[in-house]
Amino acid sequence: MSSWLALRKRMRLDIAKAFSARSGASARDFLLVFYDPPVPPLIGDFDSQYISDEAVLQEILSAMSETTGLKPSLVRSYFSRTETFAQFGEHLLRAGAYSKEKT
Amino acid sequence: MRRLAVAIFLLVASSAACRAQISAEGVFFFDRGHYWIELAFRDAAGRDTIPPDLAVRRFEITRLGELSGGFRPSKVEVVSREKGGPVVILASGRLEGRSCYRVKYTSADSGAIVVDSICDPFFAPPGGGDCGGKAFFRNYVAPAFQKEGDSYNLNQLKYEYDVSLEKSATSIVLAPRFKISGLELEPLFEQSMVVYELERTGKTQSSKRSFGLGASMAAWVEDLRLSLSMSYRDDRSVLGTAAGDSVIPTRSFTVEGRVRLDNLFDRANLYCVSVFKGVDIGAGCAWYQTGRFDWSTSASDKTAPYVNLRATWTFLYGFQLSYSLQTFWPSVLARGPTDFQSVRFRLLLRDALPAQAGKSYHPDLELAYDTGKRLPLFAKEEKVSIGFTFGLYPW
Repeated sequence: MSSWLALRKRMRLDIAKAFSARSGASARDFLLVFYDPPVPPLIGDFDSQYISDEAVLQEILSAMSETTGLKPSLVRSYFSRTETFAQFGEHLLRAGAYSKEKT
Repeated sequence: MRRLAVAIFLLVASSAACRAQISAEGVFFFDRGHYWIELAFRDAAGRDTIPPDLAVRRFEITRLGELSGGFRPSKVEVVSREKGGPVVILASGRLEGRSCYRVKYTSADSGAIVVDSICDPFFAPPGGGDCGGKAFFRNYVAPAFQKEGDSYNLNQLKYEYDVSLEKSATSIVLAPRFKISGLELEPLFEQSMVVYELERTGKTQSSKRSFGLGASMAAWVEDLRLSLSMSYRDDRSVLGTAAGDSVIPTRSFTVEGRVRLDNLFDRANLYCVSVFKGVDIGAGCAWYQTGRFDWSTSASDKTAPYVNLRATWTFLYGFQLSYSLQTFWPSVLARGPTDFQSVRFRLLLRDALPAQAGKSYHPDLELAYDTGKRLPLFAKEEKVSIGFTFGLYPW
């Protein structure tokens, strides 16, 4: 198993990749604006402004499901517009993200 | 004496440099029912290292924002991970969730190392959260439009008043979406009723019934979202007059390709209070027919190639301005191309209302201005309306 420091860093990059690849924000800007600030904006801010429709959101969550090895329904259940992306990532880590990977 | 002073200075300087060579970073996490702090130490070369003396008394944990003193961990353990190198785990029953901590490690030979702001991701700093404008929107504006306990199953239910023509209109639109292995199907049913209240002619009523079916596929090619869609629409307009009802049936079939250009706005979208999204351009061709269907009508009289440019700007978290320009080249019109323009100003309530899992239905308050000529009648239209809509898209 990886250290939590490594898991957090990996989740940060994976979320940035998944959400920026399917929206109008670059990964760098996504991290700068939505992930790294001491008080980051909520997912709802990103969702209502960058994600054009539900289909795009489903694609993003499917990508997160593939990356983390978690079931799509589980990833979807932790996606809350009233939380931050770091909290979303933390939910996934606590649910066992990456744990199915062979070392 | 002078040499001794220089020697002492160099000794102190080298000691300080040595202390600065070890750094650490920490993370607060929840595992197996407890909260823990993980520390990773690194030497001057950036390699993972473990200080030789890891006695409990060497560590002091302080909860940020508390005036009381720090506490020592109950257990310190070195754990070797398969990825990320060895780390130090601090355990204590005093660690609590939704908190931030500072850890100070004091070693006899490397001095003190302080790791600040080791926070639970669910920590909410006091005074943080929504900025003033957004908090005002969320707390005062959005609740004014909230209906508790309602189930929003409609795509659009709208009442509007056309200022320019002194008419009121009520419309209901049902357009559920189904996704079947990458193909999106959207059946459409629309019923609208317009009541004209003109002084000259008195109250006149007209109604329109439409049904149709749309199908589309979309794919990402690098940073571009490409989509291809087809749709069929059948309209039947009835105008009630003293002499009897006048019925105008129309049909149209369109094929359209569309490319989204959102990613060209990366630089402009750096600030989340002002974001351009849904910027796309489409080109297509429509085949349309007015009146009774007649195969003998020449094909050139029934086609209208068109381009459609759309852009949406969301700003200050809760407002959205959309613009659409559709230019047709109907061959039946001798005067060349004709445009239809739509401007929508929306008060977005999506984020402020309780989320409905898996659905993007959300009510918006919308002020709209439409002008120009469009399919299938290419009659002059101009209207200003305000409505409470449930829409999937800004169009």
